[in-house]
Amino acid sequence: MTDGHDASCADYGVTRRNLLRSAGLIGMAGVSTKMFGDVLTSTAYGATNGNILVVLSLRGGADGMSMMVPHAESAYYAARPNIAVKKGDLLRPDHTFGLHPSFKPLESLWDSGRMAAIHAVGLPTPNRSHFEAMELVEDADPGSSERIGWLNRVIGCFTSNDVFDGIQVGSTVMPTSLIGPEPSFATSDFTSLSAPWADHASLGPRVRSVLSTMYRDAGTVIGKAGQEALALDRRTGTIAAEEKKGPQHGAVYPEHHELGRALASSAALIRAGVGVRAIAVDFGGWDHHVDISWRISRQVEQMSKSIAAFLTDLGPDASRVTIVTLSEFGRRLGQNGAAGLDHGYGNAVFAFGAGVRGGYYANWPTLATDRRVDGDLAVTTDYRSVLAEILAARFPEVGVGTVFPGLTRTTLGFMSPY
Amino acid sequence: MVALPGTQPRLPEYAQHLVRRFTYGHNGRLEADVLRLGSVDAWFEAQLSPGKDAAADATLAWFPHLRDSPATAWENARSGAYGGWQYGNDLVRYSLCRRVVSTWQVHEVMVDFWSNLLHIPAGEDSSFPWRMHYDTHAIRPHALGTYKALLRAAVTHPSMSGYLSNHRNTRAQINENLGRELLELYTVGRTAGYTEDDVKDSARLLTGFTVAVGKDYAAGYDPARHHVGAVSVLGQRFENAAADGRPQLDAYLEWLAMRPETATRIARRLCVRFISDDPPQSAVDSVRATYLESGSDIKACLRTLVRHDAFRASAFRKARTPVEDVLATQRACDIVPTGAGSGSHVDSFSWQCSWTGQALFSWPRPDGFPEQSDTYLSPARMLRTWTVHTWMASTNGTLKQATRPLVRDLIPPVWPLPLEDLVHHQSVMMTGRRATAETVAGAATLIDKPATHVFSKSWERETDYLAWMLTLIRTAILNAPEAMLR
Repeated sequence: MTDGHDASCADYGVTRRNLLRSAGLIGMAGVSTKMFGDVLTSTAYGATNGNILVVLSLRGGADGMSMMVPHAESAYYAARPNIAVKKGDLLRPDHTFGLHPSFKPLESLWDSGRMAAIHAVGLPTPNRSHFEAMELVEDADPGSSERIGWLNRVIGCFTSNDVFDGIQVGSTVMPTSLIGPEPSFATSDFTSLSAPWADHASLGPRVRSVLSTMYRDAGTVIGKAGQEALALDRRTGTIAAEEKKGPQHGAVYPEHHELGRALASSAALIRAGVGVRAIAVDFGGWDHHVDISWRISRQVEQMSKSIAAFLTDLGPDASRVTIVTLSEFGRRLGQNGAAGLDHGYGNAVFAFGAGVRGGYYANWPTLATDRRVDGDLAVTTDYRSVLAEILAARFPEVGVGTVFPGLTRTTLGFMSPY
Repeated sequence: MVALPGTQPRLPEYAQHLVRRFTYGHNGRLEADVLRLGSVDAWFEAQLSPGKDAAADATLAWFPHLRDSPATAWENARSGAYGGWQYGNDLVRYSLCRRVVSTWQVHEVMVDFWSNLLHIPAGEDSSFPWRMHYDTHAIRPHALGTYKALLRAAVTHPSMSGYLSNHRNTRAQINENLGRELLELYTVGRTAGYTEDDVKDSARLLTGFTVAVGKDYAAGYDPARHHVGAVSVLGQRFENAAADGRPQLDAYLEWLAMRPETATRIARRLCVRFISDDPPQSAVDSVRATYLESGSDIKACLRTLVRHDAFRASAFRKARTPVEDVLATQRACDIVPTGAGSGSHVDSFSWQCSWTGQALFSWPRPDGFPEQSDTYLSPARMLRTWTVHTWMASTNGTLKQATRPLVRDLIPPVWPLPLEDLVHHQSVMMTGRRATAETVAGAATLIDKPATHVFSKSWERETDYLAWMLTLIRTAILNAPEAMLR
């Protein structure tokens, strides 16, 4: 394992990676997704007033052309006789694009200039496999066989090295983007995340002491997992208390909805001020091979309501939080036999919140036959450039070259420069 | 000094290891089966040819809706009498019950393995009326057969056609969904280098199957929908000249199943499940060779795998997934379900699976849960699993529709009783092996006594007191790091 990752981390003090390297731990054989080392004695949490990135993974391949509709293109309507979004239904159209009407809950965010829609974004080369495309998007280090996700590399550039730097909310399975040597964790919510008997005056401390002795060997995968769990136990009380308060500032999340629940948990986590810097949220259900029209309306509506509620819920903390959506690929230009769409290529990305300069952005390739790739929308903006622009604007301490090795950046201007 | 009865393991270490890998966890009945057959190799061989299983089959009666025809299931879901999610939940609970009580543990483990590779979520709209049938007719009969027969049964099944849009895949309008996943997930994998045209031709071979999704779910084959005419996948030409494309599809599926790339992927996945997250290439190569030589015979692959040195050397190298842990905990505590009514213990352990991060058959994409076991070791999952262990370790109170041993049957017939002996006795009973020094020390800390303590006073013999001691000792045993591994 070679370690070129530190090359461009801005030198804001000692990062965990440097510590590990000086301790001779980097490059240990056989470590694929986990690094050894006692990270949990660290008490330097991320700065509790630092900026925060929320990455919303729209899993399944969301159809960007239904969300950010290229209404000026006759090819769009010709290829989708039954499922194209009608011109008259679009929200806030300009000469080229318009938003799907289900974005209505975010209309005021758009009007206040805090929502950007960016088109023709994607992987540098087409990949219509869900799983491989998502892996590539989240790993973001083409050519490397190391399974270290880009978010994990972002965390590696923070100075705190804390298990709370990067968190996956909404599922207890870690997404690729967070996998790697930096500590991170996954959860569905923050209630009941404490050691057994935690509230029992005499037994609670005994249970904790037994667990910390049993799991003291951080040189094993299970030992390290146990220690990280105990570190989480030490701090979840604060978060759970915040979560129990429920949504603040009059926020109303959609009922019985997984994304709403995950974002409500995330808002509580941010309000609790324990120093989280990056949150990954999974939002599945975008694989619309069949009957896309009503399905995507429902998806976009739930997403819009959830994001609107999240930003309300954050209150003053919203000024620190930037949200970006990512999906593994767009969908084909032409509809299939089931009023749905199969896997395509170029896609739309959305950014919301702090530092965003609202509006439509694209190096628009058009849908002209000779500009398409295998019949689908081309990619003119590497998705890593979109992420790099957000990182450069909001996380000056993070070296973009570290996070996205070998990337030649293009800047679209959708973020206010730092 | 003579060792206290029940404080020494009854199986050699290698036997314990093989049993831990290929079952849902140690229990007394399993240990007795191995001892009765004389060796773990004989036991494993017997397990590869499962017989009747009255106890496991009896659990089906607890879920009467699982016998509903697809048309009935859909009608019930449509009318609100019994929802798709309830059918899904029944299949989940039934599968968990079987895994707890079944004699044929290796078969259950392989049913899980293939269900995860050829994954169809339970309770999904387009597939749920046929999902139980998929389990009983596609997966179970072939789980220890050949992969080519299993692949054919799964890919041509109405549940799969519903889930991956194949019922909408016709000569007039190709739907690529199943054609792509067949290549990517079930056979050769992305690295085989198939093209987008290959995907479309793969989908063309799959045209003709019908499922009346959203109507009565009647399933069949309509030659008029089948794409007739030569196609080619990965350079292999298929004439595909007949209106009924099924014989040609069978040939295509068999060809795919026996491709070397498929052999590599299946062999590697088996080694990841049964050896380690990063298995040695030599083990993968051996299993792959057996796969190709034997015509994809699953039993032959498993025999090769367990005879490989890498398997022998891999004890405790896999973490238990949340589901595996919940099931192993039931078995370690000898908790046996006796029904599955509302609020039953079966509901509890099904809920424990999802609460610790893995609701069975719920992975939202066709690629199934990750087989890498350290994926599941997030701090949140660890804390919740420890918590579940402390609940299950409890030895007093009754469970709803489940039995567990009485306190008096858990205590060795010796008095005075040294704490250390009691810890080993419980550990052998629950895991088949003696407790580590750390576990003994941990148990002593929890009960707030020195490790050298001897229970000798008359009040220490009272059932309530002993029940509490046992609960804490069992908590230490279940929460030890090695108990989270298999």
